[in-house]
Parts: sequence; C-alpha cells; structure tokens
Amino acid sequence: MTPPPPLFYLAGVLHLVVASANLVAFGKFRYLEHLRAVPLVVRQVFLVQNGYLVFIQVGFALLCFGFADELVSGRPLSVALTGFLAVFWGSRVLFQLVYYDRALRRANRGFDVLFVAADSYLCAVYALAALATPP
Amino acid sequence: MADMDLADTLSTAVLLAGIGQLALVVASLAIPRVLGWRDDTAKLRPLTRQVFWTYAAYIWCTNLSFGLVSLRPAWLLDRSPLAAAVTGFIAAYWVGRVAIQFFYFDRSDAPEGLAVRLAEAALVGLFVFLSAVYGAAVLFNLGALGAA
Repeated sequence: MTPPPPLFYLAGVLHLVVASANLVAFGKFRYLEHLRAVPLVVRQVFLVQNGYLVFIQVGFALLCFGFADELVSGRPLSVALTGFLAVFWGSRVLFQLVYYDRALRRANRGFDVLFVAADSYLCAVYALAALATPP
Repeated sequence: MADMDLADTLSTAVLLAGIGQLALVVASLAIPRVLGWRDDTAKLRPLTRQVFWTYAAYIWCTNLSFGLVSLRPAWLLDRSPLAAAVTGFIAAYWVGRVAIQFFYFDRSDAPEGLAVRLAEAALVGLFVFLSAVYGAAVLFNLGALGAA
C-alpha cells in the first residue's frame, strides 16, 4: 500500500509537535539547572544536540509537506530516505520503551504517550513508503 | 563537456564526503572517552543523562545516514527537487556545525596538546569540506552550477 499524501502531511505536523515538545521539555524538566553540575563544554554539547534535533525535525517536516509525492516515487533516494526515517522512528520507540526510566515515564505519562504514539505513527508511515511499489 | 567534467568532479567529491562522514562516525565513538563525558554525565540526574545520550545517538545516526547515502553520489546529484532539498539540508547542517565550532563552543577547558590541536584542525577541515561539497551539490541540483 502506498501511503497517500495526507498521511505525510500529518507526519509533518507530528514532526513539528515533537520538535516543540523537545523545547517544552527544556523548561519542564529544568535541564539547564541540572546541567550546572557538568563542565561548560558538556552543557554546550547538550544544547547543540538539542538544537540540531529540532533542526532535523523541522527538516523532516518540510520534506513531508513539500515532497510527499516524491517520497513514494520508489526512486532510490526516496527509498533510502523513507527507510532511514522508518528506522530512526522505530528505534526512537524502542528508546522510549526500553531505555528511559520507567518511574520517570510513569511520572510524565502525557509526554510518554505523546512520544510513543507519534513515533510509532511516523515509523509506520515511512516504513509503508519505503516498502511501497511505485505507482 | 565541461558540464560532464563538473558532474564527475562533484560525484567524486560527494563520494569523498561520504567516506569523510563515515570516518567521522567511527572517530566520534572515541570522543566521549577522550573528553571524559561518561564521568561528567554521571553527575547529571537520570533523565537529563538519558536525554543527553539519546540525543548523541541520534546525531550519530544522522551523520551515519549522510555518509551512507553519499556513497551513491548519483542519487544526490540527479537534479531532482528531492535531491536539491536533501543536499541543501545536509549543506545547512554542516555550515551550522562550522559556525558553532567558531562562534559557540568554549575551548577554555578543552584538553591541551598537539594531538588534540591536530584532531580539532582535521575536524574543522572536514566540516568546511562537507559544507563546500554539499553547497556545490545543491547549486548543481538547482541548475545554478553547470548547464541544467
């Protein structure tokens, strides 16, 4: 089954939601306060990583909004991109379920559910696109 | 003829950029040990520590994917809108990284020594090379470099 463009538009919106959640988490979990315990360079690396992940999310969103048709074209670059994105989001679900502390997830159930649901949806849409036969 | 030469040169440059990014991916596995990040992040609360390493893993995977896709230069240089978008994104990613290196990172407590300075020079040189290659690639894909 080839995912229709609206599924990618929704994926684009979810990318922006996840990017925004990363920014909200900054204040909610008081990262900057906790990062005072580590050397400046580690603090800066953390902030750069966060900035880059927001940038990557926005890039993925623009890809979904502007290139939905191309993503299911079956061309090698499209298959490589959607395959990478499926692995990226599939592994993000595993990170959430296996790596993050259970008590923390329970204490922040809203964030937990948002990430698992959004990441699972993104993984499914990109996997379908990667496996789709071109029209 | 000149356009063919340009396409061949760019193709080789993108392939080299891919190899450079894969080398970076391998080398960056040593960075946490060299800079003592495990000890440093052990001082963080569990959530902040887990977020730090999750972010690091995803940046690492992104670099890996850029390296792998660049091993097929024809995919990134076919002058399609998607190829222009992807090479434009990768170019912005590395240009940003160069800017961060020069204007943001504080080096006052970085380790000293010739080896560290050489490693940093190699790293910055690679970032500049990647910025230039993908910058040229996006211009090529948009038809602004070479005959469309």
